[in-house]
Amino acid sequence: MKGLGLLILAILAAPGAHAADPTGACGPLRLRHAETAAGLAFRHDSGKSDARHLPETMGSGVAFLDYDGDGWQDLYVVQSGAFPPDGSSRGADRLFRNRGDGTFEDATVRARISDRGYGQGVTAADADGDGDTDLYLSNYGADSLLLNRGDGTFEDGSARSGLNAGGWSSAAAFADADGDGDLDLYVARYVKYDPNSGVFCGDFATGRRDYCDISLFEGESDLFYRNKGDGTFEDATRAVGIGTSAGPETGRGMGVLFVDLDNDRRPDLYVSNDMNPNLLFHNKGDGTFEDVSLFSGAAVNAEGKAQAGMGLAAADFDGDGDPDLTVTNFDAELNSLYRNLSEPGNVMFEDASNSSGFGPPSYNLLGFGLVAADLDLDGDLDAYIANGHVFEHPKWDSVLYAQPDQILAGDGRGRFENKSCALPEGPPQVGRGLAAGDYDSDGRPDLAIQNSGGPLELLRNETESGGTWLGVVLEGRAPNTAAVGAKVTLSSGAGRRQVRWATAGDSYQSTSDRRLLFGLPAGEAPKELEVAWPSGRTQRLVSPPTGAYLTLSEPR
Amino acid sequence: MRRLVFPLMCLALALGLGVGIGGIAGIPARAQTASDLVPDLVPDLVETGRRALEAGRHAEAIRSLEAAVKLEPGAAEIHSMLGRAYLLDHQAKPAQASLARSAELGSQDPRTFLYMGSAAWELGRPGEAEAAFRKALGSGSGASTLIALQQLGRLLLWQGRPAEALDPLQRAAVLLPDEVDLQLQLAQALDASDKPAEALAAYRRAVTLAPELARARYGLAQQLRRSGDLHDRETAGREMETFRRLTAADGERIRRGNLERARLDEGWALLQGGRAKEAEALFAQLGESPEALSGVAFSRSAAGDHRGAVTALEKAVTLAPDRDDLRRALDEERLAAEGEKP
Repeated sequence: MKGLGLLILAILAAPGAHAADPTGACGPLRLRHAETAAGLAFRHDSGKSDARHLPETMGSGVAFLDYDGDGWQDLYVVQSGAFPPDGSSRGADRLFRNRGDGTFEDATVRARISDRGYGQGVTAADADGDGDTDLYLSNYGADSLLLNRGDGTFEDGSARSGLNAGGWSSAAAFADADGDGDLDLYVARYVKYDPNSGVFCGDFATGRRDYCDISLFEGESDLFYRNKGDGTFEDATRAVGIGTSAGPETGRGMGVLFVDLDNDRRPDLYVSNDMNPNLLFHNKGDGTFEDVSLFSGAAVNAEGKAQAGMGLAAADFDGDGDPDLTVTNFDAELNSLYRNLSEPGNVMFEDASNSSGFGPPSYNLLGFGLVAADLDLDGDLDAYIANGHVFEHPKWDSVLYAQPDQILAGDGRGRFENKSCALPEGPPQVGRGLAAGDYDSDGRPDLAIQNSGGPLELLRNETESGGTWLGVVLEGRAPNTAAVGAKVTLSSGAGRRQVRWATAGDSYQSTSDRRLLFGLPAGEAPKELEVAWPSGRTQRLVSPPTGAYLTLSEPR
Repeated sequence: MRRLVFPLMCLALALGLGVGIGGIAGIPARAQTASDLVPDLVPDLVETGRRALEAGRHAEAIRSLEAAVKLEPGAAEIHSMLGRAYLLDHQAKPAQASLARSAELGSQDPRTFLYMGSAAWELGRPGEAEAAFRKALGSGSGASTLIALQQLGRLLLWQGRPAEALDPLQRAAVLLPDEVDLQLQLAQALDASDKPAEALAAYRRAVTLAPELARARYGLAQQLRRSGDLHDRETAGREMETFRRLTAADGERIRRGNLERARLDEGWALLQGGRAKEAEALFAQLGESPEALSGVAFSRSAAGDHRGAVTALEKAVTLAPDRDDLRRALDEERLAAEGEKP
């Protein structure tokens, strides 16, 4: 087995029976609030004041990661705090260690988590290539890199690494963009926001302020950092051909992900922008990118309108083996699904938001966090969307500040059905960051949701599908130890082909469990598992076992 | 964020469909009610509501029409008008209720169903919206038919039913061939219905109708790019560059416009808070638009400087001679200035 690069680390039995939906209206999908039972006591502090500063309504993120290498998914939760930032403990992030029994303990102090910036996003990845998971924190103000020391503690590596972008960073993603083996970084930055600008937004008759429309602010340019391989990074934004200039027509970055869009085995780059066209950069394979945003068809909607892009996810929703792109947008806009029509070297999408059924249910909702996961374990990817408005008093009575989340069940052929009836009971929140992760390692993707000014939510997936599952943990060759960029394809007896990509950073300001999960409906056996490693090697495993996480190591 | 009701309103106003109910003649005969005790009250309330609605004073219109409905609960047309007022005030829920009540009472006015469709759409009920638009189509003629066709086409397109959207959009385009949004919607429906050549023609027409409209350029560029023809691809590149330029210019224009509005609001908030001097200084920084000048005038007036207010308002009226509100304010300030010591 080892010779094949395969090592089965753990086979974890699924837990016992769960109550079925008595009405059956929503199918087998069951999600239950588990934050209290899991001991996750966290409330986001937006710093909201009468001045209504824009950053107060934009954060923040959450990450699933196994920081201590014990095989269980821990949670890193970004705090914002006072605004303008004062460096006080109000802005202290929290790290919750998974005890492995369904509960978490606060490990913030023990792990020496030091960041007290005005937090927005968190991206978990092995930035320094030493085999453990580090944290990049996007802030309003200087960003931070927390390096994992491998002993359960972190140290601030911002200055040493050169990763300390200023301005207002929203989200970040890692990938080996230049193919040299180590992870590079893209930071999506939002707008130039001066807390002292004094611009009045709200109802002047009463003097009551609300958050300003972001069209009032100039976009902040994004940043691309090249990993020099010696623990330091350099700003290579312009050198690699990205170089978006700050200005109203560019910037306002909200979300970012790296994924190979045209199947040329190189990570391309997709950035969601708020009220500006989204950006799509094709990786040319020589360390540079080509801006193909507008021609790609994924920059604006089918009507040619730039939307208020927030969170994003790339996943093969239509079962054709390539990643489609999804983006959450403002209310009155629809969430976007761009169907991938690319061929190697020719990145091309079509807006299928309406025809797929992905967009219309979002009409009165403002989406932020977005993850693609097989929530009901039927072998088809679904989408979970965290919603919440940015304005406390939206113009229309049909639009609320706190909003219910959304579940869209995919049929594997690119069409969706609204299954929000499966949402657990509870008051609507002002949703922001969202990450998927199997915290109880039962093969069912759970969800962590950050809410602006609200409680952290943990939704435990208790679906009884009658089928089974397969999880994959990729161990890449150093320095890309998590094999970010790898593509894993599971073929099953029913002729179904499920594809997952190893990424580091997506959704909104968040990072999901890096383990890749596949659901298999009853009676469907896995036939072959194929891994296309970042190095270019391909591995195949025939009849992989199910009901377990398999750890696969990249061959030398 | 352009929501669904606005295209409807713009088109309705452009076609002279208005928001009124043509005076009070449409109020049906009724059983004895409280209004019989004050026979002129309901017509007055309706007329006040109609005028307020046409002037864009939606809250005032709602107050008048709610009072009228209380006095005359069986009048379908007043419910309809109240529903329209609610919708224009961004209150889709009461709008839907009022319009549904109007329909129950037997309203045959196609506007009742047009607005009912828009309210249902706002509330995320596309099935109800479709039924209402079809009802409007069945009960109307002329301008209301045109709006019903376009709304129905847009709704079907929005629902991912482009083939079904084709018929209403094509019929609307025949009636209103120079409406650019209609051409763009038609182009989208044609493209999604596997009719690329016809879609291309519709995009070309849209660009001809509105050469400075960025999204028309985008649609044309994408359609050309998909054709596979080398010459078309080169043309697509040029169109996309035009799109990029127009989008950037639009973005900057929107930013500047919104910024000016926010600064004006800031001035009004200062004035509201009794800080007239600071408000005047802020309005003065905003240049010599009618809005900024009226802000200066009101600030001066609040500080007791009516002559100064007159000076500012005279400039404002020169810039915007059609603004009755400015003229009225100028008259009032002149009167006040007469009592001022030189």
